[in-house]
Amino acid sequence: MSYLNDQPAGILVLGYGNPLCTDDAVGWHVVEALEGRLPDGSTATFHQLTPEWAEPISAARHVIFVDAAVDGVPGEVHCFPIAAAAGRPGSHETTPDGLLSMAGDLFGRCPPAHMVTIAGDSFEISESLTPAVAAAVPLAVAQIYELIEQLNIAETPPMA
Amino acid sequence: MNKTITIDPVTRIEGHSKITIHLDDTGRVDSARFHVTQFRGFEKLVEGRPFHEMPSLTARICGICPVSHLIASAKACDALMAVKIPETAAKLRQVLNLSQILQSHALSFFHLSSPDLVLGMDSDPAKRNIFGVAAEMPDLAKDGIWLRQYGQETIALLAGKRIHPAWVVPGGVSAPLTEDRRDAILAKIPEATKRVRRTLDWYKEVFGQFDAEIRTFANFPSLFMGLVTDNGELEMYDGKLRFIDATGRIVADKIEPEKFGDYIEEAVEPDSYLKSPYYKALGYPDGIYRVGPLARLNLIDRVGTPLADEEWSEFRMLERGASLSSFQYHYARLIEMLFCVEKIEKLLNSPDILSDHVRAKADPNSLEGIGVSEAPRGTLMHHYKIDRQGMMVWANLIIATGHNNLAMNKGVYQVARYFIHGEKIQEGMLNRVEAVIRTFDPCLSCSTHAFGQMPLRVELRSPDGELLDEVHQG
Repeated sequence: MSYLNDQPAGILVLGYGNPLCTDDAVGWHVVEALEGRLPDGSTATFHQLTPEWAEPISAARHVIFVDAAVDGVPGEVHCFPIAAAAGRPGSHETTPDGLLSMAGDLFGRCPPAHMVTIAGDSFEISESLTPAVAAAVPLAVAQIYELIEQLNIAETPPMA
Repeated sequence: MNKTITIDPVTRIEGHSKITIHLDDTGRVDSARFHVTQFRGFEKLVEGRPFHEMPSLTARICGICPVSHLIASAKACDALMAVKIPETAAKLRQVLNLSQILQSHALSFFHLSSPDLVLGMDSDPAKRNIFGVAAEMPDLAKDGIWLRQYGQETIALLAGKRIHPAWVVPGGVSAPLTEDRRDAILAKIPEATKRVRRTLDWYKEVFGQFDAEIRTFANFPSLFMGLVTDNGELEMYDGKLRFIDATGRIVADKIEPEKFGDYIEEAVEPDSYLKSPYYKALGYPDGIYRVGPLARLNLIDRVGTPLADEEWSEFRMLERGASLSSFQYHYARLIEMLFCVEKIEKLLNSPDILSDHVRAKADPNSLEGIGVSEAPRGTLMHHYKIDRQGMMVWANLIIATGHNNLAMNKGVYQVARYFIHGEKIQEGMLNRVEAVIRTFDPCLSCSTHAFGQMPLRVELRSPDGELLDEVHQG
């Protein structure tokens, strides 16, 4: 997805984390598994959430954030709605609720959003997921696909 | 009884560090030190690897500055191969480097430093961040986001992705630029120009409100170093090294980059992983010099692009010689952003920019190679030695933040001496001690070749080492 693409997305699925830190990469794996099943420009993977995502988020009909969770039983998948909240930015990263807030404040629209988390087992240096987390990828993909079908928004144009 | 203040971690910078401030018996600041507390050891890690892997390996030093390392590393590899890369490849590398400088300067100015400028040094720290700026000056925040997006998107259009692109290779670049991508970058130039100029106009209106900070934020005589073109213009990719002194007088000029070792040596302090380069002729620690936007604009004869030259003329009116206050790194950063936009446009309009001859191929022909370029924070030097099989046997990286280490330490001392009084750290004092570091926009991952995030700690200690107060952030 292009930051500067003027074509707004219906659904926007964002997977993020460090792909060199074992299960921190699970957001990438989940989103890459969704690619080809969603319209072009509906998915993106990156290392960190940065303020630059506020604009594309504001243009989306619905946003799904996919990230590894530090706590929980490894491989456990959770999907829950999230709302805008004042974020606590680091030097160059922010939070999903903070980005939603910024999308509303700066670009005039805060779309509804969900968070999908997959509990990780290891965050050490490795390019492979642990077995439990790798096994959870299809489950997370299925949950996201189900959510999108329920919302019936994949092809729906965004609200004005 | 003497006392010590510790700020740990330092916030809104790239990396882990802490500041220690020692007080004397009367409660006045006696000394202050900026310590970098992260370590990676990349120079050892690369030994034994094939030289052609170096651009990709060293780009992993940092997620903010991968392009800068790609450029300097590829230039060192060009030297090992002893090739002259195709003209188009050199131009494309320049565009990539300028895009990196643009996006990094936007991050530094808008995301990290504008909260201090918009909300004030003494404002509520919970709101003193990019969200606070978005609430107070939404258009400024949007300009920052847009400009960083533009720099990153240009990197992605050239090199395939925004972070850790593998497009820059020894001998040139791996693929030519396509017409549609060139046009996509050029189409946004007018908007980028408008947004940078608007920010510059705003900055020039407000910086006068920070008189105490301008007077005390690393405002002292020092040398300045950077690359310049043969006719003295701003140069980010090639050129020759120049040193000037505080009066603006040229101390050393037309230095071939591979001769930098004749002018610079590195000292090591036991309390920091960040080395301290110094100008050899003046010795350590008197050979203090600064690099980066302020240094570059101090030492050139002109910028070399029309709009940036107009702004630079005004900038040079600040002081008779070199601008000595590091607070004005902010000003210089904005002028350089304008230069980057103008220069990108000029390079992309070159008749040969779409040529498919973008790579020279060769085996290694030299056992030693040096690559020097300007990174957002200052001059970046990669120095490699290989064996006859082309395997790395030795590497030395001198990073912009390292060049600035002595100046940052002196700046912390200066600002602490002015703003810190007594045994408790007030929030505004703490922020100013951090803010002087922030003006240099240090990247501690790069400068220690380290891995991880970068928060900060400040300690206040007595002369006998007793910890009196301590603040953690990040």
